[in-house]
Amino acid sequence: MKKDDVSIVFIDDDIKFIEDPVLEEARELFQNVEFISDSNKAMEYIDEHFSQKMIIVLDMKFSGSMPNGGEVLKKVRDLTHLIPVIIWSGNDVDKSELSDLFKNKAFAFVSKSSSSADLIDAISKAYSSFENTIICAIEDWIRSHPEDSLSKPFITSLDGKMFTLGDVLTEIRMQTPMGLDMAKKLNNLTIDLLMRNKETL
Amino acid sequence: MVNIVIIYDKNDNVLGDFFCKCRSLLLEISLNNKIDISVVDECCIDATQLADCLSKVNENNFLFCGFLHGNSDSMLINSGDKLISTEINHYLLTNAFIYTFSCHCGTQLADALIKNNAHTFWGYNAEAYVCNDYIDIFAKCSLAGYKYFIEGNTISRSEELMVEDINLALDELYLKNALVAACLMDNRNAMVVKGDKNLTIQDFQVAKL
Repeated sequence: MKKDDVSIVFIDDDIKFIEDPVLEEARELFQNVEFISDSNKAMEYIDEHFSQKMIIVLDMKFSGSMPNGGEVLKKVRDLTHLIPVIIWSGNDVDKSELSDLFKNKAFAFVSKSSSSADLIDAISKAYSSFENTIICAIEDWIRSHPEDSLSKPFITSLDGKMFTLGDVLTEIRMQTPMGLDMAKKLNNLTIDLLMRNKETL
Repeated sequence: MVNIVIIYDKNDNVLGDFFCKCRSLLLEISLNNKIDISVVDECCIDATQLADCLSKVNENNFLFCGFLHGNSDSMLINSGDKLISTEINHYLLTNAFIYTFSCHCGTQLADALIKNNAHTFWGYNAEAYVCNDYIDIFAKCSLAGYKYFIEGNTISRSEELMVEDINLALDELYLKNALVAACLMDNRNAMVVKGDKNLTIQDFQVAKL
């Protein structure tokens, strides 16, 4: 069976979960599964890989001075709104934590006492949610280009700003005004082609 | 004879090549149409020099073509100097048909120019884009309206024909590169023509001095 082309990144300081059956099930369905037990290292990993397709499964409570799940989620949202983050916690969250999770757009909350099928279902829904967006289509199209073409000037605005295709990808992932504008332009193009009967649904 | 003033920012680090391409294409279109033209062709000019240049033609109808950066109230040259602006010299383009590829100028600047007796403003009311590997297509599309006008169509008809040309280019482009097509379509949507749209090239004929 063809695996879905996405990395599932488990972030949990309880290393006994490295052997949880849910990781094995995830490996059967998705191309890459990572388990990172240190939330500081997890944030470094996200920083280095955020331009790739990724779904994060995140514990809330971390031991010692490690950033907790809420802080990791906030860091992810500072980078991009395109990475779905599923909270996977063994503890209930209080009202304030829940409010922050909503604010930072956690994709779902799955209790560790739930079945592995529930977590896999949440991951699959997260995959579908971003797989069906126009932004994902743009990312796939950009990534299909040879590596060296990503660093060539691609587009220049008449007020003097120049972007490579790689820049465009970053702007899209970071959901900057330029990145959002590119996605909007493509939506508008689709509508334009439909209205002029050049394409059909 | 038709007086044409062409200003282009040849030295711009980012889009100098594109501006030069537009200027060359505009000259080619003008010369190919057997219209007796007198061209003032400037790449390095400031607002004072522009005033000297325009004072020789603006008592009669003339064409002003600008390939340079812009913002809502100005056309800019030499890395941001105001060349035509609502603040300093909007009155210089009296009697002009202005055809420009400067972004954002189609708002405040266009309104000020029309209010000060420019005949028509053809430009963009938002950010316009050029895709680096497709400069020829973007230049050709940006000058399509000028081409149809020089061929004898009214400004209004030239605008319609330019939109048709851009749509044809879009239909060829989108299967090869949807992002580029989306940017070209955005330019089409940002295009604005204000003022008298009934004029033709015949309205710009002046006696030879």
